[in-house]
This record gives sequence, C-alpha cells and structure tokens, in this order.
Amino acid sequence: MATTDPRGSLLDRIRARRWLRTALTAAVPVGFVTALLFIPYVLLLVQSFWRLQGGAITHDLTLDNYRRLFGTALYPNTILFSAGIALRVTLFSLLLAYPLAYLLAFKVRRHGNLMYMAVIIPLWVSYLVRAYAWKIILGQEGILNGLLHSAGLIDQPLTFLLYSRWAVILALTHIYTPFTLMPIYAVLEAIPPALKEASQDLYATRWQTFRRVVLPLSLPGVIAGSTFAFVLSMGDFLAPQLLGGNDSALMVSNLVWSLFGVAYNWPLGAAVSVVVLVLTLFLLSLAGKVERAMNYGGQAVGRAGGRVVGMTGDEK
Amino acid sequence: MLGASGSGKTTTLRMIAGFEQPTTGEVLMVGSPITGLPPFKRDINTVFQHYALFPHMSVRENVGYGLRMKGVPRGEREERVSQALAMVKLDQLGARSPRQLSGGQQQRVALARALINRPRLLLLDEPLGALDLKLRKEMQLELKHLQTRLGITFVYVTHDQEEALTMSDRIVLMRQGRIEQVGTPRDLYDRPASRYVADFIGETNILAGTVVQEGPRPVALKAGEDLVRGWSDAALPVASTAWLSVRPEAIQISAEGHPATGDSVLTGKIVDAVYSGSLLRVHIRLAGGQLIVAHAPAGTAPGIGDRVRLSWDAERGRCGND
Repeated sequence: MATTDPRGSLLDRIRARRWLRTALTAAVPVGFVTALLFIPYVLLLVQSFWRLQGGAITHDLTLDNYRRLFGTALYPNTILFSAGIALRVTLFSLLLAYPLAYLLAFKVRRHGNLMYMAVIIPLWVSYLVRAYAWKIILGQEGILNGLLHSAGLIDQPLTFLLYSRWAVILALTHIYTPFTLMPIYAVLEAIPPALKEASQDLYATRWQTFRRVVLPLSLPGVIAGSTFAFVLSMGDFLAPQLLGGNDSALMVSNLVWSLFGVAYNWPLGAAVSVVVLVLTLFLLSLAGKVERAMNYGGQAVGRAGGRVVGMTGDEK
Repeated sequence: MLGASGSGKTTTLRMIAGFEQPTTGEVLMVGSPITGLPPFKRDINTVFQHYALFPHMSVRENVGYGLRMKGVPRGEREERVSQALAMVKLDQLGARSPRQLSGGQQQRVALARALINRPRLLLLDEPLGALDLKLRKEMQLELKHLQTRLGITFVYVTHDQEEALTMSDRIVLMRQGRIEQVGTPRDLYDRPASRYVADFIGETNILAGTVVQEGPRPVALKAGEDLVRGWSDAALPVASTAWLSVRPEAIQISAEGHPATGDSVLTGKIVDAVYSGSLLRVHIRLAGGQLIVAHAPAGTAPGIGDRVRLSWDAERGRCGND
C-alpha cells in the first residue's frame, strides 16, 4: 500500500466512485464538442433570427430572414444548384470508386494494400494543393492545353476548361472519390468469399452473382460513400472559389461567404447555413437509417465511416 | 473424405465443385471430364462449412436461389421450396432471415438449398463441425437417412474419424495430399493398409519388432522378449523390421497364473484403469516400458499394480512394414 490514509489515496477514492470516474473520462470530449461544435451551432441558430437594420445587426427576434430566404428565388435556387453539382459529383465518384473498390477487394491479389494506399495518400496532400493542381491542368496556359496544342489538335487554347461548373465537378470528384471508395471497399472486403462461391455453386453466372449477392451486400457501403461525397461536395467552398468562375456564385457555401463578407448580412447568411445544415442532417439520418436496415451483420461500414470522418476532421 | 487438417481433403472437394483448378490431372464425373467447367455449369451442389447462407435473403429465398438461377417458373419453385423445407423440418421458418436461426437450423437450410436442385452429387465440407456433440450425432443419422432415401451420392469431408466410420459407405483417408487408403469403414478399421491408417482410425496399440516367421500369413514378430502374431497382406521378409497393430477391444487380460488363450502373449503390470461408462480402459506397462491399452468389462475391478497377461488371436493383429 502506497498510502497510510485508511480511505486510500485521492486516486483510489476517485476510482471507487463510478459516476465520478465516468464524468472525468467524459469531460474532455464533451467539453471539446460543446465548445467547438455545439455552442457555435446554437449561436448560428440564434443569429439567423436577428435583424439587419441600416447596416447594423439588432438583437430582436424575427422570421424575416427565413421569409426572404424562401421568398427570393435566388436562395432556394442556389441550394438546388449546389445539390445538383453534389449529385453529379456523387454519381461520378461512385462510377469511379465502385469498380476500383471491387478490383481492390477481389481481383488484386498482390500489392492490394499498396494500391489502397495509392488511393488514400492524396488525402494527405492539402486540399488546397489538389484544387490548385486542377487550375494548372485546365488553365489557358495549362498542361492540358499545352498537350493538345503540341499534338496539333488545337491552335488556340481552349478557354472553357477552367472556370466552369464542370471544372468544379471534376475537381470535387477527384477530391471526394477516396471518401466514396473507402466504405465501399470496406463492405466488399467483408463479404465472405464463400457467399460468392455458394452463389456460383447454385448456378448463378458471375454477373448474376454480382447482381444478386455482391451488389446488395455492398449497398450499405455505397450509401455511406454517396453520403460522404454528396454532403462534402454540397458544402464545398474552395473548389468553386478557385475553379468555378462565374458559376461559383451559384454554390451555397460561396453565397454564405458573400453574405457574411461582402454583404455584411450575417443574419441572412446564418439562416441559409441553418437551412443547409438541417437538410444535411436530414440526409445523414436518412442515409444512416437505410444503411442500418441493410447492414446484415457486418460492422465494416461503421468502421470505415469513422475513418473517413476522422480524416475530414483534420483536414478542414 | 477423411484426413487431418492440411491433408488436402477440402482442396479436393473444391476441385470437384469447380472453385479450384487442378494443376495436373482431370476431374471426371460419371466418366466425362468436367475439369474446365465453372461451378455454375456443374451438376453438383455444396453444403459449405459455415453454411454460407445469403444474409440479405429470407430462408425461402435462400432455398429457392438455385431454381431461380436455373429459370424454374415461380409456381413450381414455390412448391419445391415448400417441399424442401418440409424435408428438413423447417416449414414454419421460411420467412425468417438466416440470422434468426440456430446453428442446427442454418445447417438444415444449407442442406435444403443444395438438395432442392436434385444434384447428381452433393458435397459437404465439415457440415456438422459447428454443432454441439448431441446435435451432431442426430444430424449424422439424419443425413445418412436422407442420403439413402434420395439416392444422391454424398462426398463428405470430415477430420473426425468416428463421424467417417458412422456415416460412410466408403472412406478415402488422405494424408499430405495423397490417398492413404480407400475402403469401407470396416476395411480401414480391421485391415489398415499402413501404420498411419491404423493409428488414425480408432484407438490402437502399435508394437515395433523384427519379423521372425514370414508366414503363411500370420506373421510373427519379436517385440522385445515377446513373440506376437498378426496378419499381413504383403510378404514381410524374415529379419526385417515391422509393426503390429492391435485394438484395445481385441486384447484379453488374464491373471498371471492362468493359461492365456490366443496366440500372442505379453506380460505386464496394470498401472491405471479409467472408467468410461460402458467399459474400463486398462493401461498396462510392458516389461520394455511401453504402455498398452486394453478394454475390460465395466464390472470388473483389476487391481492397480497386478501383473497380468495380455493375449489376442493372430487374426486380430495387423502387421506391416511401412
């Protein structure tokens, strides 16, 4: 015994009280989340009910911001446009990520980990650098124009490559495809090989086996991956800013940015943010429900999800 | 197909099913080669080791999968699914998901899913391995009855020699990728072709010695100071080394003073007697130090430390020189 106190040392006494132990353990993460996430969101919500009068923000509560938001075509349209961009990014990411995840999970026997790393490593490069890279590739003096010119295919550089919604979609697809890939790869890898064999044993061709067994079992990963791609690209700010040109004004994050910055209309900016936040939360909970309903036993998606969320965490 | 783990029995099964390609040789079914055929073109179905039921389908969908892939119309399919489920006594559970079933029930679903297709050959890869002993014994008998009733050839992989003895018409004992012996359970038990087979199947005592009398057939070995006799199918030359296997139930124990019956006689001292329900397993140490196990009726009470004589008839011993 290290102490002569009959009640034991301070540590012993803390250990003896279960509630105290739990509270101390929970204090740090709870404090972190409260200070950095919960309080800012509450402030945002409160601010969205304030009023802008003569260039100054007054603290009387009003629904004016929301009335204006839903009454002016610009705001819903911007949200819809962003959703449209996000949807296309999601679709392209899936088209890239699914076959790649399938190859990694089932076909690549050697160097599978290496290839997986090759997909993941770009995530360690700053987001800004990756977005900028597209500027260099697509620009008037860029690599693509240079290549086309030296191949004799064009005389004048193509100007439509950069500064358009397609440049944004391209860059966002590049940036968020790994996020789509990871959960899909995780579920595919968790499918026991015996299930595919059982299907083939029961007269299913390879295609039927994919359609009836592999695809349905991988849907939870597809949903998780799509949710990441959609939510992340819908709220993306930098890619439209750098590559979107005139179209960038049509993305919701950039709208919020200009409302907070140039227009100095914080209450309206807050209201737009709240609407987007609510939409996103709704989408996430919906995806979560569908995923749970389809998750037949494996925990793979949850794990992959944790990994992905962790990565966005240090990135932004 | 029987063998220790790593003996190649599952690989052989997978080659029959078409999941694995042999590097050399051919797989023949009823005389025609099926080596290059993919699994879905073989008239063979498999019951997998851990059942491999599709978790996203109901029991009925699982069982009907093969018929559906074959394009059997829905009406006939539903009817046959019901029959198959009735056959394995799961008629009430068709709507459940496999996860909601016990291990034994999952096993039955896997069986129904394979048998509904009326294959010419059913492969079973340690199908009862995950079940507890009592259930396993029940399922062994049930499988055997089912097999006899349906008249389908079963190729059954197991590492449990007792299971193999109970269920098989013919056993292929494998060792390190090779066939050690093929025969009826009785062949393998009573006439093991090698020392490995004798040791692997059932319990036995193996004595090493030198051949002193080549035959006619009962061979005599000098094991230490004792002369023992057993049968051999191959000729064993005099003065060569050989082994003799004798089963515990073939050995008679008698007190030292009494004349022993049988033409092999050993003497030793009882060191232990283990009660195991229907019989007593008596451990006897020979003069040379070797331990011999012999069975005695459960009612008898041999004294530990008593000197006894062990004897058996030559035809119950088995000799070889591998």
